[in-house]
Amino acid sequence: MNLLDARNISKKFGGLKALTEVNLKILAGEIVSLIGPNGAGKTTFFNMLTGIVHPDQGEVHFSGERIDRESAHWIAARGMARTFQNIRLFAEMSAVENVMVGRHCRTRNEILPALFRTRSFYEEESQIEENALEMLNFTGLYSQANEVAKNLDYGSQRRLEIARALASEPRLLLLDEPTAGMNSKESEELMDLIRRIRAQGVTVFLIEHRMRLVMKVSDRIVVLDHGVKIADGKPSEIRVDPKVIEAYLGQESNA
Amino acid sequence: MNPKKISLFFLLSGFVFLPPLFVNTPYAYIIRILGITGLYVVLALGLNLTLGLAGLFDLGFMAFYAIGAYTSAILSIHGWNFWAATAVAVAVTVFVRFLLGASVLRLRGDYLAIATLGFGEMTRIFFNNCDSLTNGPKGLPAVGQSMGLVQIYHFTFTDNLHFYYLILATAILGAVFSMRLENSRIGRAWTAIREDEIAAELTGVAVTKFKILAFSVSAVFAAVAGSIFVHWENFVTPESFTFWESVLVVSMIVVGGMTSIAGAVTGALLISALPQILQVVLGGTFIHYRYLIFGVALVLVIIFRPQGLVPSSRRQLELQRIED
Ligand SMILES: Nc1ncnc2c1ncn2[C@@H]1O[C@H](COP(=O)(O)OP(=O)(O)OP(=O)(O)O)[C@@H](O)[C@H]1O
Ligand SMILES: [Mg+2]
Repeated sequence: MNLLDARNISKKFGGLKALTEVNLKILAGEIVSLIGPNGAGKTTFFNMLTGIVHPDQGEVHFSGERIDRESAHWIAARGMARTFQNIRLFAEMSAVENVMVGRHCRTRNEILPALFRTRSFYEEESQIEENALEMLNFTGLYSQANEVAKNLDYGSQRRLEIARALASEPRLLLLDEPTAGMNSKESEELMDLIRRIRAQGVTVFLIEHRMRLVMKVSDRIVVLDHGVKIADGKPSEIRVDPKVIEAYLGQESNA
Repeated sequence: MNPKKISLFFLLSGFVFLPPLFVNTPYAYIIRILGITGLYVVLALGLNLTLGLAGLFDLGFMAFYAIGAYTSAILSIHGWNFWAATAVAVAVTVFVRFLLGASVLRLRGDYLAIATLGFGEMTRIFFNNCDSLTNGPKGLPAVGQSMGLVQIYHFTFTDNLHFYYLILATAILGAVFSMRLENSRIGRAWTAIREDEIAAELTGVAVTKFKILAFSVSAVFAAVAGSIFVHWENFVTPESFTFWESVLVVSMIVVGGMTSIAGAVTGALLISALPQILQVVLGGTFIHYRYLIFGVALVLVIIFRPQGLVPSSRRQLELQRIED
């Protein structure tokens, strides 16, 4: 079944066509990569899926429900979580608190239980904590649980964003350049983490610049160029696609 | 008990047991100053929820102190008892603040500051001009009217010491509730909004809803403080609720340490109690330079200790499980 089905998506910013009639389907359980030159519209596509920007035209369906007019927190609660190209953690909160916020949409405690510290309050709080520590453990951050997020090193911050996203039990996880700023050892570890996330039953959709990693980790690769989808296929097909080589790989070899 | 708890215990004991010693001495004024400071503590705790935790820049908080005070005064004059009048004052104040929040909280930080500032001035002007309800600048109760008494069973609150204890109890309750809110799913959502609104929204926090919630809950503090204030003073005029009073409460939070409950209390003590005591001790025209001194102190704090005098520290979890 299609977990995600984006049909004919277009988005303009003023005169700039950020996305033009993009179609994309993602099956449950896949690892799909989105690649393309700078400014191709990759992040815009993520923003559109997660409800920060609404498309001018087209529809997005997420496990059978139409989501393109919904608010971002509603979409998150339906099971779509993401990380950001420019890290966006809750800087002054500890690592574990960041992840606990990720649990927000799966928990219910309101004001009164919090004020009067009811049994159900404590039960839910301890579940939130337990889940957060589990996510930190899964992403290799357990020993840094009490560090304030802004004091973590860059690679840990990227993984903390993933832990926070996973805490909401997403069905689809969107990663916007998760290895940006990492050295090659850290990025290999991150690819390993992505595979482990998929093994937990989470579908992964990532934007990634490093071709070698993309080729290795992806089941499928989608290529955007100037807001237009120019290719969609297995890594082996994308590698030899002349349009891709011209638009993307060509540009990279010039650089 | 850890050192923090021990010092808290001594501090609280001091606030409970020392003030009665001042009764019938030349230092009796200290009880009154502490009572007023306690009201500011309650206000600062309320504003701390919005400005501190949720990061909403609110410059009109005094308007809600005023709405609470006037609602309670009007009901009291019409024969309501203190507790019922306070309950209704809370409901009215929360409702008005909810309406304001629902209409302005979509605005960005700096616009929000202007909108709340404007609302604060509007409220004061309304109370000043709505003679039939508020007796305008002459204040309430009008000649021939009187406020009800504050009573628990058959005990009546008459002198400053009684009101001091009522205020102390309110402030302690307010601090406990603030702490409980902060360390909960709600408080984490507020903090997340302050830290990064967009990330919070995308993490699943209904940002607008939680902003309006913070805004509304903080009104409870303002209304309770307002109601106690009018029953203690037996008098209220619009002049008690100027823009400068709102600025004062904001300064308390900035000086004490944004988001920190201990900071809000420290800020209120420094900015409310200290100048009043200095005024009595130094006498003369000191009080005229009050705002100048605040201004300088505020700038110094922002330059040398931007996190405030008593910054909040993140709660630490005990990590027992062994990493696998
Ligand atoms: N909110 C916005 N308002 C106006 N223009 C925007 C907005 N968001 C993106 N753009 C523009 O849309 C185009 C696509 O940007 P986008 O960030 O999606 O590219 P990208 O593929 O993620 O690039 P990069 O690899 O540099 O991250 C760019 O020209 C960008 O300037
Ligand atoms: Mg991008």
